[in-house]
Amino acid sequence: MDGQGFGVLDASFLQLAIGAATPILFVALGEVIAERSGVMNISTEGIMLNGALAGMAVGVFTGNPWMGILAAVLTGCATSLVLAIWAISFGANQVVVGIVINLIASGATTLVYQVVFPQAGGHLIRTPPFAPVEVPAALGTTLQAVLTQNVLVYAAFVAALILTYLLFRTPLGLLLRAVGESAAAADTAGIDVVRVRYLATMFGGAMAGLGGAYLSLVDVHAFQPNMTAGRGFIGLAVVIVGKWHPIGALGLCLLFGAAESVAYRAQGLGLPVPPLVLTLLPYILTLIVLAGTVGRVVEPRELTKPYIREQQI
Amino acid sequence: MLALLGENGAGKSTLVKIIAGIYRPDTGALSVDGASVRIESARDAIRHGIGVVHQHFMLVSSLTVLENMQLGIVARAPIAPDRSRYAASAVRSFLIAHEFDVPVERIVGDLPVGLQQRLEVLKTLYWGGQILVLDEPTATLTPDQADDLFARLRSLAKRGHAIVVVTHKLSEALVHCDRVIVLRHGRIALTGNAQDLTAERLAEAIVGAGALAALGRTEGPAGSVALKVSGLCVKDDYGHQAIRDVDIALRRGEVLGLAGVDGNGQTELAEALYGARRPTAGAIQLQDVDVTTSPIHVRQSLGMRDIPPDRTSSGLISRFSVWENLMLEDHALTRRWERLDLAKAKRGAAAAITEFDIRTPNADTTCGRLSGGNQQKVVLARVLNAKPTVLIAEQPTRGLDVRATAYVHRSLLEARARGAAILLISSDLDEVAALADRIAVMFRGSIVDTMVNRNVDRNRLGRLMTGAEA
Amino acid sequence: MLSRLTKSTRLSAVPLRTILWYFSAPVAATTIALVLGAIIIAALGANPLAAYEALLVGALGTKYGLALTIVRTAPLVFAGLAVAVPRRSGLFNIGAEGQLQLGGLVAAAAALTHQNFAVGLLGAIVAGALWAGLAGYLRAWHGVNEVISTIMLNSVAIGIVLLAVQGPLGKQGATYPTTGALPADSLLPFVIPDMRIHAGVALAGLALLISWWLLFRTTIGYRMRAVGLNPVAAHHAGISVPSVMFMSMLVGGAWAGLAGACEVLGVQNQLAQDWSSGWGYTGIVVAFLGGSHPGGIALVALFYGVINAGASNMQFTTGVPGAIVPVIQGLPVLFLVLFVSWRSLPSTRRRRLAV
Repeated sequence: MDGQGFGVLDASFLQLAIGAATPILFVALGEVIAERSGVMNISTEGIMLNGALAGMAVGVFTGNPWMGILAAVLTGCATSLVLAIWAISFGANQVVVGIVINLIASGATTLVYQVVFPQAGGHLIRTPPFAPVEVPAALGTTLQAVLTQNVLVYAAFVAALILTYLLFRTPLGLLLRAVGESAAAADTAGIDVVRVRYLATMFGGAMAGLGGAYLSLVDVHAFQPNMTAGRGFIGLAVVIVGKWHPIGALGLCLLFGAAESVAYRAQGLGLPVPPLVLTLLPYILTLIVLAGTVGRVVEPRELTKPYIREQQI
Repeated sequence: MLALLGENGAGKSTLVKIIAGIYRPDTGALSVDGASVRIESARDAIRHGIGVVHQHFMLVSSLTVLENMQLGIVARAPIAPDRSRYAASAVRSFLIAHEFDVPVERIVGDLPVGLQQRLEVLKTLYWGGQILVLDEPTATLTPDQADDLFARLRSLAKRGHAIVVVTHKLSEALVHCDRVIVLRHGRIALTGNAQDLTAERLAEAIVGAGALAALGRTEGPAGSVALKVSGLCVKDDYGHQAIRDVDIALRRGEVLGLAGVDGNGQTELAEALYGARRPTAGAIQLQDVDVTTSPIHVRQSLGMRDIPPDRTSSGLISRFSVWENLMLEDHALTRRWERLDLAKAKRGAAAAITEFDIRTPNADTTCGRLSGGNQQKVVLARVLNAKPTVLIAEQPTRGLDVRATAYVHRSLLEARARGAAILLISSDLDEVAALADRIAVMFRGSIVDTMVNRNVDRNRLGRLMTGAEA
Repeated sequence: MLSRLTKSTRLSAVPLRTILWYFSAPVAATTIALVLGAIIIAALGANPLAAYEALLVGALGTKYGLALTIVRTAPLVFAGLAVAVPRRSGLFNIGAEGQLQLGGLVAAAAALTHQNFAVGLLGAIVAGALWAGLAGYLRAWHGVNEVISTIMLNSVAIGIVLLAVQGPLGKQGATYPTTGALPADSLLPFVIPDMRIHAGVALAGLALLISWWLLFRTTIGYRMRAVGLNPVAAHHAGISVPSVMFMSMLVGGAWAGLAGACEVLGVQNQLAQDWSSGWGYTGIVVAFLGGSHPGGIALVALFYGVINAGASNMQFTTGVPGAIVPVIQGLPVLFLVLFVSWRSLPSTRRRRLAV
């Protein structure tokens, strides 16, 4: 069946939803890996901002969005490296460090943006064009519309599949899961717990940076101070509700992306429930899941616990 | 096959951890096959062919048998592990060859303890262990499972492996092992071939020789039963039966000494009596009131107090001052909302400091800065000032010097003279002999014998404590 | 005289020497942060000393500046207390932001119905306490991680406020969602009228005293501190650890609710979309840098208030953008956390790190 959909739920809506899901998906996938190793990264919000700014700035200066993406990934790695050093090597409280990084990033990105682009003033600086993938018309108008997405979208979805395979079917994934479930057992098996956690955390940071780059380079085509608007936190929620599984994250991101799109589209539709409520869906869902899994251990057992060998064997 | 014997605190576990690469020795050296080695991590140990089975299982309970076996192989080469050992088929055939018939897809956490233990041993073998060190391997096993384990270890030894079993059970050393080393207070007290040694010799080496000295006490008639325990059964954190069908009748004005090596259920018993752990069966009556499932504060209000074995984690709040710690159990404090009467608290603290001779610059000093002995005195002062009717004292002099120990003993006897019923749980035989009116020996969660403390044979006690005699 | 000072005084049960010891780490961390800030300012092409001087002059040099500083300090005091009291019991109240949002909402609603400001304040206290209590209950009796639950509740609270100002509480015909100017007779009175310092400031000071009294002079505060320092020992002593944890969240939420109400009824005089400057999150760093102690919080909140108030003068005089403020406010805690963690590491681990 081709052509139009059902009122608000048509092809362009689906296109929107997938686009809205993508930045969150990057964050969530990265966080799944990080938390699977035992490190909770609350600073995803700040890292996204850093990535958004880095992507936009380098993109504008080089005229090449791919350089921007590279910059965003590196910035994400660097920011999460701070968390890694503080939390893994020094055993500092991961929550506090995460919140502080968010605070600093919020100020730092605004500061750098204002200094590097003083001409911004009221209007936005456009990032270089970043065309979506060419979809053959032979697929039909609906599919063509839905699938016309930036290559990063495809990357995110493919990443979800690759990470699932990696996590559950490769030796590397086994290593990661073992470290997150029982650091002592992994250590006595000869696994370098510290190194695994560092790498996992920095991967999470890179992905969050990538998510931020999507926002500034693809979604809005500009940088605005504090443009992430809670997406980093939604990413954290997705990890929990998705039970630390990449495919779970994928499904939930699509759900939340759809909710966001409905809210956006349905402004004047006179629905019984204010569309704004739909944007609250991720948070309410997380709360319900949290309250519901009481007593059962679903999360990686070592989550937020620093591993100090002498104290744990 | 070498047995490493000793009481808790003798240094056995520390030695194992040094071999496993968790601790580093201050002096001395390690060598494997004559070559000097440095072991600074588990990886080093594995590389040198040392396989360690720790007291607490080092298995990832949410992963499968296969995945747990693969961990050591993956650790060596994370990207491309050795296919010949990583493949599921290789693991499967290895396990089957060792008569481990569990399907490799089973989740380890679902397996019974005995099988988990076997998996731990097989794991170390699979990862190339030539020298196996097992730390208290039969702690969680039934006698049958223990025999089975030793039979398998024996056959491994025959195949050329070197096996060290760390244990506090004499029978295991004598029956299954070739050589025995006894550790006491961090030093070697005895070494020899198992066939040349007797249980008596070993028990003596473990608990020390010499007659038991009894402090002068007034022998008065014991009063009514203050604490009555019947048929108590308690499970430990791993779900095993820690206390089996224990009966105790503790009278006012008496000290009942519970002698036993640490780890035979004393902690669980104390926790169940005090209210920190729920028993699975049986009853506890405190001053004729049934408190079997009552929370801690109810038992406190009936006059029960506990001196915990680990003062820094459950007895004191290290960052609190002396006077703040002294008021920790004050009932008005723990239940009601009201102004803190600082003046009263400090007056009480000053009195306690004088009475108990607590060496501290003043009442405001942080408890964490006091010496072990003085910290224990704070706990003692707090507990005794509440004038308890029933007092549970767990390892009350652990880590204390002679002077502090003597002080604690005097205080306990004074409490006894005032009519308190005291349950003394201690692995120090001298202490039990000095203070107790009656002695009960705990082994594997049961009280194997109770006797009046008069002309007690130390060796016999040692044998009862270590299971050499039933 | 000095020895009299170093012995415990009636006001504080802790000797002066100990207080100085507790000061050293936050002071060192703040110093490092200020130095880093100076480096950043220099990198921006401005003179750090001139910038800091402009900051201080802007915040404290004029009557207007002083007033602004004091008014900007008040919400940070409340927010700092909102995080500090639960922290004393071992909990992380990341939800101060959401609790103050609801506090502001209830206060605005009360004002719109022409209630006396006291009603609005009381309502805000209840709203904040309940919102925090939700997370507190889940944590105390069901072990649910209060960090995640409060973060989620924050977003839900912001959503509720948005719904309210876009809907029932919103002013018709406004260009952006807001309640519009609230009725003047429902607002907070001024305690220092010629400096426009509203009663909320006085309440903040009162909150500091009450919190100090609660934590250090009552049995319930004693229990909170005991649970926070060693829940095992507290449980062993017969204290009900869950009740204490829950109680501390209620108190924290109450302070956060007041933060929102005082801002709405004392400063902004309306409830608009995006009305919060994120005090709830800044409160977290205030609490940590202040050692979760009312005295420390007062100092840190004032310090942050100065930075906040002086930022525009700094921007005007030296061109350094105000966005540097969150950076300078966040850096001290980053280093403080490092110092504190280093101190808690076992010596063997420290050796391995140093190598």
